[in-house]
Amino acid sequence: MGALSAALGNRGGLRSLLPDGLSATKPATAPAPVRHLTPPSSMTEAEIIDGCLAGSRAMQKQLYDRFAGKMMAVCIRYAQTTFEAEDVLQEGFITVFNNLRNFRRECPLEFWIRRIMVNAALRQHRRNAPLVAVSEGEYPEALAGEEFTLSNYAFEEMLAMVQELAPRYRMVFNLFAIEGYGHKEIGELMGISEGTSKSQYARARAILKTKLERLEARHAHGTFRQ
Amino acid sequence: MVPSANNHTPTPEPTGDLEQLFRQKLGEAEVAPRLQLWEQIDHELLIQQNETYRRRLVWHRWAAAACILLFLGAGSWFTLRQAALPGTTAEVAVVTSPAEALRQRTSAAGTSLASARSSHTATPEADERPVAAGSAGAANSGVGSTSQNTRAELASMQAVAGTVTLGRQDPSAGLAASAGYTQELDAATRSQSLASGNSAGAGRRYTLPVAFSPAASTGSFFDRVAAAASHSYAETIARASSFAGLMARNGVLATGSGSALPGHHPDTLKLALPGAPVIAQSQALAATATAPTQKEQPETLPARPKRWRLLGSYGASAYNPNMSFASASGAGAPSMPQPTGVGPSTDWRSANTYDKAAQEYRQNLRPGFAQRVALTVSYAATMRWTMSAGLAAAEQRATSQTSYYFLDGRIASTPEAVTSNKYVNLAPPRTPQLRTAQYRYRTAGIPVSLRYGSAKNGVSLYAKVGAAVHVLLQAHSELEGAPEATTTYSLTSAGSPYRKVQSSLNGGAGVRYKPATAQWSLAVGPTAEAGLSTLNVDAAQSSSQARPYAFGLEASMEFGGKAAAVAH
Repeated sequence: MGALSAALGNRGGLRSLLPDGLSATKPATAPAPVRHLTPPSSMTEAEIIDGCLAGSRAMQKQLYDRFAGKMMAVCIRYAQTTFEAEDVLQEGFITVFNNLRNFRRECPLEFWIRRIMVNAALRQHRRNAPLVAVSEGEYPEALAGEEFTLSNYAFEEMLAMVQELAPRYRMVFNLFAIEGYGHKEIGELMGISEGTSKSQYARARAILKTKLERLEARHAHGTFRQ
Repeated sequence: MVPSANNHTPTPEPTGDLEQLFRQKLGEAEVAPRLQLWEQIDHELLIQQNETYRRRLVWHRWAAAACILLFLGAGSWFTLRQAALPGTTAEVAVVTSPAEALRQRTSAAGTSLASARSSHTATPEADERPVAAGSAGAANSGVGSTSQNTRAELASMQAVAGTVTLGRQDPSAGLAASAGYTQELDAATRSQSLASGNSAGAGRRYTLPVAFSPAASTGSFFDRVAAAASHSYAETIARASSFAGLMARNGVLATGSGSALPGHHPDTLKLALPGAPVIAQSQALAATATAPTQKEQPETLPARPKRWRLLGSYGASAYNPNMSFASASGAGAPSMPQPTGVGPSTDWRSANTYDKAAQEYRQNLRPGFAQRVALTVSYAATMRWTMSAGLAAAEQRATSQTSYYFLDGRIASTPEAVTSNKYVNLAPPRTPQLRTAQYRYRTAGIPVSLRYGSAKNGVSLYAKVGAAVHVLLQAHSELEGAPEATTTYSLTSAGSPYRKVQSSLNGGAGVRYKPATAQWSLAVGPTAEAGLSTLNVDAAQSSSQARPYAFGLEASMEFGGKAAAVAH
C-alpha cells in the first residue's frame, strides 16, 4: 500500500476492519503481538451488554476489564501523558455506560467503544489546546513511498514518537493513519478545514519518517546517536 | 510428479509503509491502566446514580405536595359549597368587600345601640312589637328559601327585609325576635330587635337585588360566591346584633354610653330608620308577613346538575412489581474488588452468586392479584370534564421463585443458605430446588384524576387519566419452606429495601350507566397503572423498564350526580 493512497484514498485504518464490508482491504501483514491483560471471559459480548443494561455493576466491571487495555492504548496515543490518557479513559467509560442502551449492535462493541474514546480524546484536546488559527499551508500531493521493516520497531518507541508530536499533529495523524478517518471527517471533528488536515498530516508524517529513519540507522549501526 | 525444489531463500521479513507500521504497532496494542481506575469509574457511576435518585426524589416530593394541595383545595371548596347550599342560601345577594364587612362588624354594635335608643324614644312601643313579630314569623316559617320569587320580594322590601333575612340565618337573631313577645325584658328586647333591623338596614346599603344580578338566574359561579359572601356578611351583622342585645341586657344603654354613639354613624342610622312615615314601615311589615304564603308554591325551573359528587371505586388488577435487584450498589450485593489472582476471588464469586440470584428472581417474577378501594370527591368542572381527588388503599401481591433463598433483594440468612461468613461463601444448592417467594404490599395514597365523558342519562363512555402518590404501609415476604425467612417491613422499618413513597400514573376508559331518575351512576372499565419510580430503593441505574405496573378492571359508583330541581 503506497503512501499516496494512504494520503488521499482509503487509508485501510482500523475502521476498515468493520465487518460490514465497508472496506475490503485487510492488513497485508501479520497482526502485531497483542498483550492480553485480562483473562478471557466465558461470557459473550451480548450477555455482558444485557447485564450492563440491567444495571449490574459486576457486568460493567466485566465490560471494563475486557476493553480497558485496548482503550487505554487508544487514549494514550491521543494524550501526552499517562495521567491525561487515564482521564480520557475514565470519561469514555462513563459515557459508554450511560449510553449503552443506544448501542444498536450493528457493529462489534469494540468499535463503538473505540469511537467513544476517540471522541473523548478530542474533547480533551479541545479543552487543553487553545484556539489557534492555523493556516492551511502547503501539503505535498504525493508523499514519497518508503518501506520499513515492521519487526524492527517496538511499541514503546513508536508510542513515544507519536506522543512527542505537537497536539494538533498528533490528533490528525492518529485519526488519519490509525483510525482511518478521512481528511474531511477530521476537519469536521477538529473544526479545521480539509486542507489544514492534509497539511498537518503531511507535516506529522515527515517528522515521524525522519525519526523512524534515525531509529533505523541506530538499529543498523547498533549505536545510539542523538 | 514433479518434486518441489528446495528453496533455501530465507523468508523476507514483512515490510510496510509508515502508516502500516504505526497501525500495526499502535492500533492493536493493549496498555494496562492503573488498577485504581475502575474504582474511580465506579465512584463516578455511584455519584451519578445518587444524583438521579435525588432528582427523582425532588420530583416525587413536588408531586406529593401538589396532590395534597389539590386535595386540601378541593376539600375547602367542598366545605364552602356545603355551607352555601339551599338550606343556607342567602335570599339577598350582597356584594361586599372584606373591608366593608369589617367596618360593619365594628360599627354594627354602635349603630344598633344608637337606633335602639332613638327608636325607643321616638316611636311608641306598639309600633315596635310588629317588627319583632315579623322577624319572628319570618324566622320560624323559613321565609328564606331558594325561591327566586321570594328573593325578588325580599330584595324589594324595605329595611325589614334585612330583619327577615337575619332572623332566618342566625338563630340568635331569631331568638332575639322571639324574645320580643315575652316582654320580660322590655328594654333589652326592644333594643335587640331593632338592632337587628338597623343592622339589616345598614346592610341594605350594600344590598344588590337579585333581580338585577345577571348571574342570579343562571346559578353560576358568581351566584355561589355572592351567596357565600352574603351568608358571611349576614352572619357578621347578626353577631353584632346579638352583641348589641347583650349589651342592652347588661344595662349598657342605661349607663348612657349609647347616647354618644349615634353621632358616630349618622348615615347608617338614617338608612336604618328613614324619615318615612310610620305607615310605610307598617306596609312593609305587612308585606313581610305575607311572604311565607307566597313561598309555598315554588316554581320548578330547568334542573342544574350537582357539581360535587362522591365516588367510591374498587379495582382488581394483575400487578407486577417488576423489580430488578441486579445492582452491586444494592444492600445485599458486596462490592467488587479488583481480581488479584488468576482465578476469581471469593468476593468475586459471591458477587456473581448475588447477580445470579437476582437474575433468577427476575426471571421467575410473576404478577399477582391486586385490589384497590378508593373514596374520592369529584367536581364536575364542565358537563364533560370532571376532576376528582380522594383517598385510596391497595394491596398487591406477586410471586417469584428462587433457589438461592433470595428475598427482598437479600439472600436470606437461613442455616441452609449460610455456611460461615454470611453469604460470601454462599453457593447454590447442589441440586437446585426452586422455592416460591410470595410478596404482599399494602399501600395508601392520594389519587387525583381527570375524567372526560358525557353526563347524559343512560349508557355513555368515559376516559380518564390520573396520578397518585402512595405510601408503602407494609411489605410482607414469605419463602416457601423457610418460615424463618419471612420478613415484614412497615413504614417505620429501617433498612427496608423498598421505596416508602411512590408515585404512579394511571389511565382508563369504560362504560358508565346512569338511570334517568337516580342520583347515582355506575362505571366499569379497564385500567392501567404504571409506576414512576422503582419499587425498590437500590434499583439498577439504567433500569428504565424496572418500574411496577398493573392492568385490570375498575368499577366505580358515583353518588350525587342527579340534576337538582332548583326551586325559584
